[in-house]
Amino acid sequence: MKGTVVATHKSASMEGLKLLLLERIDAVSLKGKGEYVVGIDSVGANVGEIVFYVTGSSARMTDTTKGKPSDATIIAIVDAIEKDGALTYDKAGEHSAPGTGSMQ
Amino acid sequence: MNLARVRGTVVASVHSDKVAGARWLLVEDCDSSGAGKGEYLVALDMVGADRGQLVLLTQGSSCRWTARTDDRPMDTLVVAIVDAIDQGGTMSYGGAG
Repeated sequence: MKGTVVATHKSASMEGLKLLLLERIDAVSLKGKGEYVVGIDSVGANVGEIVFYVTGSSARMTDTTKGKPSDATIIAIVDAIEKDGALTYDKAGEHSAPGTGSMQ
Repeated sequence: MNLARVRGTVVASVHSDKVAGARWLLVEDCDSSGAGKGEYLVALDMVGADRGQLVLLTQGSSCRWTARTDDRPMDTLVVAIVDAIDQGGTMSYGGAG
């Protein structure tokens, strides 16, 4: 998450939505690719956080974006990324095991 | 659908209510022989895939055509674990047994 985007003049259906400037990163090296996307926030993301977002029609499936003209919506703030058994990213330095669970 | 290799997991405790309890996998895009391309994606696990397994990804709005993902913000799913790939009569991946 790199910043915010402000647009006063917009479609009425975009009123009240928070626009965030995102830079795409490599999920392993965490380096920015220099490619930017503007996404709608549904989770309260802050600058510097690693997030993931959904694109296309899936971007309209959150409570925040239902019926809104969003094609990129941030749906989660990443705590940790594990690759081949080692953490490549650990936001709070407190994760030792990958999360599990099944969506209900 | 695309081929990908499971490389790890992604944890996110702050998330949309609609994806509570989801298990996210870090997957690497692969070619038809299962070789990684160095491009990584985050995908929702539907099949209990493990690290190292070659899997099939479904992307886009098709991701919502399952009972667990209907009406949820998902754009990349792991929908199958690949056993073997036959490419023009030659097994480019797996095929034992």
